[in-house]
Amino acid sequence: MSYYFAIVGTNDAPIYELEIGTYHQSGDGTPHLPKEIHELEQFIVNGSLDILQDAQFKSSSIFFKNIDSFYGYQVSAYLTQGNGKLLVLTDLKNHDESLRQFLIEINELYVKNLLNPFYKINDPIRSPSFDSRVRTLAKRYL
Amino acid sequence: MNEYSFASPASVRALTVPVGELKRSQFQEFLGVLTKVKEVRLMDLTPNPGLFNPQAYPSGRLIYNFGPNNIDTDTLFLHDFEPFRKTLIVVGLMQWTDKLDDIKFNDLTDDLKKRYPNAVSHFLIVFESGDSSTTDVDRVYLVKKDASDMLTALCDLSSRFLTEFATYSSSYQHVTLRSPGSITGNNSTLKPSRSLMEKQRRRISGSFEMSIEKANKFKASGRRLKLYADFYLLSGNLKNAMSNFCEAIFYLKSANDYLWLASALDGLSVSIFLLAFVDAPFQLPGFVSSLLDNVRESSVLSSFTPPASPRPSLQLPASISSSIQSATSVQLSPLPFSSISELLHKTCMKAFEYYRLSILNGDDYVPQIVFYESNMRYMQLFAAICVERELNRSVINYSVYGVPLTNSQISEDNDFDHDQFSQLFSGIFGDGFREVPAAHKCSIYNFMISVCHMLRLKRKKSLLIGGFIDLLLSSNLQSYRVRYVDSNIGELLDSHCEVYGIGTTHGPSISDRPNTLQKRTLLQVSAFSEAVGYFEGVVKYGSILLSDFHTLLADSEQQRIYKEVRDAMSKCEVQIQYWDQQLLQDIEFHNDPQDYLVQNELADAYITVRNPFAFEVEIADLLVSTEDDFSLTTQVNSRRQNLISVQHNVPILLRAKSTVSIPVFLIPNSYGKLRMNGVTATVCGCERQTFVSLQEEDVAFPKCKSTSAQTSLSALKEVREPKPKIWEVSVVYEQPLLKLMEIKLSNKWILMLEGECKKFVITLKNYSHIEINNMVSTFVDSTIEPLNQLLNNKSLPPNEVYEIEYYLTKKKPFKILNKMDMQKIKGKSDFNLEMEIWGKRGVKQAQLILEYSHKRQNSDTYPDFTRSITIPVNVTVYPSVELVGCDIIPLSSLTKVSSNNRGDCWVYLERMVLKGYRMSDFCLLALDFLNSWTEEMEVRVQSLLSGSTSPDFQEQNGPILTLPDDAFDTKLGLRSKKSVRVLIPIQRMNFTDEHLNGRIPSLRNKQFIYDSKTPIAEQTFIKHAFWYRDELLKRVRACWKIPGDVENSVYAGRSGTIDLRSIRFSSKMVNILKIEKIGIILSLLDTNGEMTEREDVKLNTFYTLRVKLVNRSDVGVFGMLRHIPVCKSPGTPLEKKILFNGVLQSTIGRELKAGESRNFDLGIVFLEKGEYEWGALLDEMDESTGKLAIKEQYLQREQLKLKVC
Repeated sequence: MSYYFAIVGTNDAPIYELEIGTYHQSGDGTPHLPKEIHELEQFIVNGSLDILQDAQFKSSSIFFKNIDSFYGYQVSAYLTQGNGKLLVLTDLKNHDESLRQFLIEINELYVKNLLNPFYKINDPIRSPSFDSRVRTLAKRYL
Repeated sequence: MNEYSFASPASVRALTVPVGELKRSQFQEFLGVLTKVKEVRLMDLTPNPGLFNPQAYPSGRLIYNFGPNNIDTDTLFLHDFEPFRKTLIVVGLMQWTDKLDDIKFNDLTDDLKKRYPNAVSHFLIVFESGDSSTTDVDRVYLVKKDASDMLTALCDLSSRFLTEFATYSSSYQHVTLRSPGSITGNNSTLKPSRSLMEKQRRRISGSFEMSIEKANKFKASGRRLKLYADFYLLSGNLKNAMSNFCEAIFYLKSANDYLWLASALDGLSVSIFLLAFVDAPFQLPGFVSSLLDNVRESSVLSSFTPPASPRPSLQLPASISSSIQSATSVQLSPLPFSSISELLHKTCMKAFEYYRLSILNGDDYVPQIVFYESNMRYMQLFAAICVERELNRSVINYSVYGVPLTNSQISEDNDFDHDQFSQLFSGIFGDGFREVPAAHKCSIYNFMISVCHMLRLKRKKSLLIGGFIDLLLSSNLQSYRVRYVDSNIGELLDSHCEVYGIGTTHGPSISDRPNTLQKRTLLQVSAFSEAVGYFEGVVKYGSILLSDFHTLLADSEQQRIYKEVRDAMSKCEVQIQYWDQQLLQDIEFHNDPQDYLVQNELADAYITVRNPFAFEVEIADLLVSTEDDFSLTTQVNSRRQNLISVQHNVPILLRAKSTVSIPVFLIPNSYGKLRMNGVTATVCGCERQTFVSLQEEDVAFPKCKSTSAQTSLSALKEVREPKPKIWEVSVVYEQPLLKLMEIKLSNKWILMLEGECKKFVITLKNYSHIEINNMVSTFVDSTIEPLNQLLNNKSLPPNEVYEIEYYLTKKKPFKILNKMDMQKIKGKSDFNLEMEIWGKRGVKQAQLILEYSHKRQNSDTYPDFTRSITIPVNVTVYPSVELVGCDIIPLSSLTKVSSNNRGDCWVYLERMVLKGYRMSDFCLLALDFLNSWTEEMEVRVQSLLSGSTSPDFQEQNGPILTLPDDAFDTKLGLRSKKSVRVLIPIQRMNFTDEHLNGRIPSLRNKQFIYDSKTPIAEQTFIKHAFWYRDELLKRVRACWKIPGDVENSVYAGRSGTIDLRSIRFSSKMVNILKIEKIGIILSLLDTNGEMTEREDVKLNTFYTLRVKLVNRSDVGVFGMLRHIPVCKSPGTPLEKKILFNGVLQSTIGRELKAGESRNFDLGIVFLEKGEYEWGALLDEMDESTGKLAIKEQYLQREQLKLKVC
């Protein structure tokens, strides 16, 4: 199982991206996304915003499981309080609670990052420590 | 009709082919006429006895789908499953000609049959036939020029087709229908292997299933019913189609044949839709309704239990069929559209559900194409309903006939079920989409892009456009490219880019920070433009990439894009801006930027430009742009090129990722303030534009301690936009230019002896037409630098400083004789500079520097501008006669001149004594001269009695021309390498203390520095010596001359001045030279008051020793007078040799006033023979205090020497 995780800013531009494979089921964290998906992943996630931006005003929930799909890859989304979006593209059809938990923790990281006075909203997140924390979380939950 | 329109399963696919020699345009025209007829009503057709007798359902319609493409070959395996995919009719289109006859028609139809043997019916439609032309050939229909009988022809055609279609369908009567998956082993419809879970589920549910035989029987009849229902649908008999579908659903559901069940449900939905289209009432049987209502829960349903009957197994197929019949025969009113819409939704959803279930179902799995096409068909209807907000007549017309909707897009405020869209979308672009053939993918993309456009799903649309472009780029099929590229591709791509925040309408620009999503989009769009030959696009998107994304691009990518853009630019006439607006970094002048430029003259400058890209950038037509239309010419300085080779009109190449300073010449064509605001250039073939250099203004942030959040926020707000930098420089009006023409010297070299003066002429020319009216001359020689260095020595005594300064400022090596002529030099004219050079010792090289300019009146606003020309003069100075030593010899009043000594000096002295001077008024200055030259020289020394009043006496060269009578003048010959001492009588000097203690002046006007280190006595001496020497130099002058009678000498007749400034005084010399302040004169008088002979003093005789004190100073003197008698012969003490009447030491009494003289007498008697010396001194004391401390001591100048016999 492979995951493509992206944080999308309020202007719909990706501000953080990560491709990672599962660590469960004897996986070593290497993503195995096929070439077409690898090339299209950013666009698929971007395309799912059409659906998400409709759904977010119809429902009070902030986690949307399998909101969109393309090539059999599912997109799940988590809305942050500032209308940022945490999006995960995965080939895992029926994931359990862990994905939601993962996104909740990522949101916490994201908020902490926002509190940094040197960080401006919608700027790309380049902090290596942020990246390593996200990877740790992915290792734990995905 | 659209391939994916909802009603397409009910349309008869007909292939139209050109027959005979038909032009493409004509064929298109005929096809247009044909496709105008969208349907044929069954009631208009001739009845026939077959299965599809139009009279059986007269309100039905035959819907044709005429097309020139034969696209059923790759779906051959589906023809039994979905017969509407088969091309049933082949229509040959041809033009009427008079050559045509029945035999020909027969041949043509036979030919058509041979070419398309799989089609059910073959017809020939002859267009533009004459009114009279007829044919009796079967299957050939004539259409008149006005196409008025087109419909009639089509009706005849349709009647004939239905008959043949009935024959065709009857062939399926006894065929066992197999699922498409078992027909083909096609890998393109890959089936997932049956999962373990599914196997288990089947095993568990197996206990509730009917027997296999019965199931197979049900399956066979269900499938056949479904197939026939499809045939009825095609033939327009909706009633039969519906009842057959319902019946098929019953059997297939019972037999758990999901694939065919789904297909039947799919067909049912089309039937319902078309029934609504013809406004026909209908009613679904109960079990179908309940199946549809159970839409959610039924997913786990494995066996069918109709709620109408508790025991379905007891129901017979015959009764079901009859129940359907009875249900439909009841008089009903048509359902409202809203219910139809709901029913369609339910049916389709159910169909999709069973399709999905069938995937796990052995050989009876759903082929990919069937699944996504059914999804797409419903998607088309769904989108149309969303746009129209409800199912209405225009939606139906849109689906059936392809009549455009009133709104092409969903209104902005209209909301639709995104969830359902998402479901359909994932149905189409599911797992298996990757395996769909490229041609189908193209169609799907094409269709879905239009759907997304309708539903205003811009991001989804862009995702699909991106995928579509990728597909086109990856497939090497040119035909696809041609097919999908149209003229407004630019707009499409622009809107595609805009979705990702790339603005392209108002010039290329990126909102916000560029991100990788945008980069990839642009790369893709650019590659696509390149592939389809849309060169404007390549230029446009490539430019955006280069200008905004070069930091995100790899070097190779940059180079590739640049190459593509340049290639595309050469192919299309698009002018774009260069990608880096910060090309210009700086403009610098070669000289100090504070300097000024001169009108019409070259100025060296550097233009610093940068190239941030990974490819070479070429700059052509580089010009500096100015404000206020200041005319300025720019030329690239090709001589200074070492980085880049530059020739005229050849562009400058900047290497990749470099900053280069391009040397240029700037020529201002007028004067005033030159304000340069940037450069204009054509870079890389882009349009010519002006580049400015932005300058950030410094904003002073308040210090942290004193800031509050408020102030720092306001400070941040005040950060202004960077402004374009302006380079400002003053341009002076035109200035003259002077050039050295000639220095009139033999061998261009001056050879001279020290102290010699020479004249020569320098010719200069003013090359410009501007008058020189301001010129200043400066002289530099090789001695200046060492002298200046000496001056830096701080410990130098002031008199030596004065000497050095004297040489620097007063004794210059050159002299311009015609200074007045230099005031104005007209343009384009020569002028001569008359020079005099003086042979200064140590000079090896000398320079004359002229600084000149043209000054206009009222030119205060312009700064001083001068230009200088340096004229080097080669000089060699040989030593001539040097002063090697000096001394001063005193003369006393007793000095006698021997008659043998008739030197000039003594003659002079005698003459002066005769004139009333005393001998002791003079002293002798002894100067030692050395002849360093190779030939004999004549030395002449002149001396004035008192210092010359002429201020430049010391600077003058040559002998004093007009000597006064009382002056001394002597000449003597001096052989080579010999030295001689010359005695010069000098009148002793009497200066006031005030004069002597005056400060040594500074010729450089330096500030006087109080010297605290040197003892005061020494300072006083230095001052005194300076002033005495100064006076001496004002009196004496020495010259040399090579006598004219020296044989074989080229130097004969030459003359020069001997430098006497090397004279230095010792304190002894000063004492000799000066006249004492208090004169003490001793004299011996006899009893008669007469002066006695000093050689002849008698023993035991009374004498009076008179001391005369003369006060020559300005102040009165008080003190003690002391007599000092000395006897040279030893023996008895002095008291026994001399008797004196009084005291040897006594006060002078009252003060001796300035200028006063007084005598003090002492009576003495000598008691013994011998030689005596009588001296006296005055100790000056302070009268007022009465202290005995001696202020100063004055000694007599001449002792009284006595010989007592």
